[in-house]
Amino acid sequence: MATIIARPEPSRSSKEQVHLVALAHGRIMLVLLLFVAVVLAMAGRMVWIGVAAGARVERSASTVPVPHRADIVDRNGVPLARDIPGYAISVRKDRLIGDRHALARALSRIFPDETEQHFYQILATGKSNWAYLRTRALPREVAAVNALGEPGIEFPREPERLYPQRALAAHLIGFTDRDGNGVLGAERAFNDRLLADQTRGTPLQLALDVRVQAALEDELARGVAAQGAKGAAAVVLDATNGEVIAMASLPTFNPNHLEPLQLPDPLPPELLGKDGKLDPNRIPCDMSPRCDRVVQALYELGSTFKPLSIGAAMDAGVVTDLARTWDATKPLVIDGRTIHDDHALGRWINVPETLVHSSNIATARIADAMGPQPLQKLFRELEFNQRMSFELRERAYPLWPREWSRIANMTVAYGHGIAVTPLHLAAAYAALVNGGVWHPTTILKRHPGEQIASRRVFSEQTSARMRQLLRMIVLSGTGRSADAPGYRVGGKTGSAEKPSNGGYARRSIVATFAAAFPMDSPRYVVLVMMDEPQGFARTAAYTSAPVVSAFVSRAAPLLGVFPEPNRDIDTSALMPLLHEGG
Amino acid sequence: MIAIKRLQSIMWILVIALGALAAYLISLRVATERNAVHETIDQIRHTRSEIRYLEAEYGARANMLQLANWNSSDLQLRVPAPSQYLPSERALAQLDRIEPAAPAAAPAPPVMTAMADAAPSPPADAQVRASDFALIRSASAAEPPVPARRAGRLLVDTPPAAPPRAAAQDPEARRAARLAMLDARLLGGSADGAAPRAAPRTTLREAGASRRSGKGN
Repeated sequence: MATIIARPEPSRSSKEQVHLVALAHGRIMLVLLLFVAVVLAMAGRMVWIGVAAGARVERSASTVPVPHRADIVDRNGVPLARDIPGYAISVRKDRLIGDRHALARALSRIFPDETEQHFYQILATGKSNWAYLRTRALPREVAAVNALGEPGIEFPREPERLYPQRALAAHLIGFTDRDGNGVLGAERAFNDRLLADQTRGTPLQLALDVRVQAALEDELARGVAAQGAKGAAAVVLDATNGEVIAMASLPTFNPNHLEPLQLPDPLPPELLGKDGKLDPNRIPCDMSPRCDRVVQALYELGSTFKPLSIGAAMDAGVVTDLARTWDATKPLVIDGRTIHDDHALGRWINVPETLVHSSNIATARIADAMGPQPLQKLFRELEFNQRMSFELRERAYPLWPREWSRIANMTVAYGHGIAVTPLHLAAAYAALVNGGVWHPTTILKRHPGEQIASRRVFSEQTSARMRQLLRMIVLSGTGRSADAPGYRVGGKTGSAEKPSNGGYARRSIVATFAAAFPMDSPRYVVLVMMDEPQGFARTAAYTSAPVVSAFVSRAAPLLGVFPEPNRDIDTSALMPLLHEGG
Repeated sequence: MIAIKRLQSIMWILVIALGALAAYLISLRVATERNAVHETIDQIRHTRSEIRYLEAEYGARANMLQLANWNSSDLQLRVPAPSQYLPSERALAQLDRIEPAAPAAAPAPPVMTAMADAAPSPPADAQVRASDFALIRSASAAEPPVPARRAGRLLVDTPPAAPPRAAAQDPEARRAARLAMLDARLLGGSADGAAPRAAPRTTLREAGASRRSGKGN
């Protein structure tokens, strides 16, 4: 029996048809939703790109390149320090393919200042696989090394600190280490400001005038070369606001190419810190050209203190009459110590003669009559007892007398028994001549109308009188060689023997000349100090004062002071006092 | 009808999709332009970086020490002497190649002294040094004659008679006027009247002359 099985006819009821339509609708909706999702994703992406691009616009809208570290410029905008993209030369030792001896030899030919052994040590030894062969390489050096064809040598571009003026104002500007942090000078003092994101786009403007600085360093270097001095320091201050217009210290260094310090081997114990290692802060100025003698070195600046002391005596009411004479007939013996004059007049002398002939005896007598309080008060106000209010970190603590005895009061009055930095004295002279107001010194350019934390230390009358007396010293006294015709220079010499083994070394002299110009309306203070000049005549009149004269003649017109032979401060009332009995 | 209605909703969706696409194209165009702007800004920044680099190089090559070396080895320039400076525009205006009527008899200018605490004295611009005349004579020896340089001073000293304008522009006439002026001076008379008042002047001369007139000197 055969059985036939037939496929049943699918039922096509209307209900089933409705289900099929719903299914189709569902699928269409699914496709639509997929499209919508894609469009939404695209729209979302568009919005996201728009937002992100907007943020990018904010980041890169500036067309001004922002350096990694802010530039340093002088008061006229001349660059003193700036970042440039430099080359370094490094090596990956595992990729070297050539002979390392031959490579070291080739490198030493390209860089003659380094030995072949030096390069071979870098190439062959050391734990790290990667090492610098050279930093701050010149483009032609990079091209020469590249021509060696060694694949293991790389040439990374690195921001590099360049000091276009080379050794000019090196102590004031300072330098940075390899990590880009300031080590000395303004680079160190303003390290945070130079690196901060908000401020590194704006150059740091110093009060320095690079033209004046160049003139000062040039004249100072000539003076040092002529005198064979061990070192020298000079500073130019704006007497009206305390700006440091120029500051020089010799010997100096090139911040673009730092030489290692030449220290004695083995190191003397006074240079070692508590941990037995070299303490950089203990390196004396005589051993390091990086030492800024203007702010880091302490000197007994000798007779340049006399105008300050006599100014204090005027304000204290001790010197009311310049014609009053003081006994300088013979050396003064106090507590077993003898005070004598280098150029003894052997008679009673008045105050102008005391300054013009630089009498220690008369100054000591005036200080003795004044007593210790006025002089102490003045010197404290001039910050002779503390580090100066100044931006640079490298500032020395003055040596203040342990006990302000009667003899100490008398010796301090003529600049012995107290040691300060040359900048201390320059700021004090600025106050002495500018009407009696002490301004804190600054290396930054002051803005017009800037509030300065100044204080009065001399009366106006005393300041006016001291201007006359300082001018008289240059016209008729020990400072004649500092005169620059037409510029009305006034100032005071100071030649002090250096302390040595508990006494003073007669042949080791610190010769200082502190000056201001033009004396009828002082605007600038110039201080020049020479450390141990070796010439036949070693006093300031023959060593430092001529430097002041040459510098003023050269730089005063740059500072807006022009020679006027027909103008001068009136000293006619005091000049007759110089000739009394003389 | 039902089909049309259903297609209508699909049309809406298509319209919206096309609109979104158009918006996207516009956005794309904007982004393209923005990128172009960014590239331009980057180029400017890069160029400025290169300018900085070149400035640094020039600054380093022409630093003050290098300039001093060049000066000592080649240029041999020296500091100007005080007599080479003039105190004011008045002194500059008085500088010409014609000496004063009686230079030997003229007294030396006094030194103006002042106490520093007093009010600053007026600049010594009223003083003219004899050396100034010598200086300008030597300095201008090689220059072509400019007779009009006397004009400013003469205008102040005495009101001169106005010379014919043609004389100021004609070199021959100017030379004649100058000779007349020299004759008058040598004969002891005033040469002021012969000054070519309307002669062309430099800007500096005019400025100096007008200020001096303002002082009522």
